[in-house]
Amino acid sequence: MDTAQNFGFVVERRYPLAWSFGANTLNPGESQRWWLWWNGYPGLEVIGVAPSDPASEIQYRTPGMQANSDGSTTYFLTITNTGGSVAQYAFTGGTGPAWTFGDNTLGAGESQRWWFWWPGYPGVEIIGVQCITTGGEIDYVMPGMQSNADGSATYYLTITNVSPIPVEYRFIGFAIC
Amino acid sequence: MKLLVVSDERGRIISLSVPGDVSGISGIGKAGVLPKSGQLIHTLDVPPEFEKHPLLELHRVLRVDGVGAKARLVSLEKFTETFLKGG
Repeated sequence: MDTAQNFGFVVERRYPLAWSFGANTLNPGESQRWWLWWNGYPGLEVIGVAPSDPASEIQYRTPGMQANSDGSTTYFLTITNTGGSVAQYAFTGGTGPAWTFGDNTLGAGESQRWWFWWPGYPGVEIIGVQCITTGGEIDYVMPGMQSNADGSATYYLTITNVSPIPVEYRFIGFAIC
Repeated sequence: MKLLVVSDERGRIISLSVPGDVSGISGIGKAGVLPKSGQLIHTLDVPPEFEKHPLLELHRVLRVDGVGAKARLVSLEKFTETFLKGG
């Protein structure tokens, strides 16, 4: 079992575009599940890492989102240092004007793989979720894309309600290029 | 109102979905869920007495009764498989 420690900090955005946050270290082979909190709903935050040591690979996976009862928002991300030495990195991310689609519920502990079809190629669509039910977290993983013979495009996403309660949510996304 | 309903073979609701706006700014033409083994997908009407209830409440209080063309959403209280009323 990972000796994971969960730390979190309040994020204040100063700029509407990409942001960088913090400076963290992580032992080789270790994983941590981080949470990053916004005062309000910041939109679909696409979060990654910027390692400061070019020799270290930091994996970041399993993004998740939770709406809190006070109107704030928590995003989650699991970080793993796959290198052989201590790594240092910062969180980095950004958001943008997004579309929302649908109104769905998902039972506690359930996972689903969704598909989204565009009549043409819409560009690289970044898709996540916006939870409506407070106190529930939904993780969204394994984005996929399929180009269809008729020129249409299908995107895929697996979502998991990791909460002990059913969660209502909507899909949210934007094309980055 | 019609909902996309994913249930297990016993009628327990896995998820409910109000279809997204395919004429909105997303550009999405259609979307859906890939069911897992043993799961069923239905497009079902919300019972009239539940039309104005929030979606999440519907998830909690409804079950799928029947199969195939006879499937319908029913209140947990009316669910025929009484020993399966538990979530």
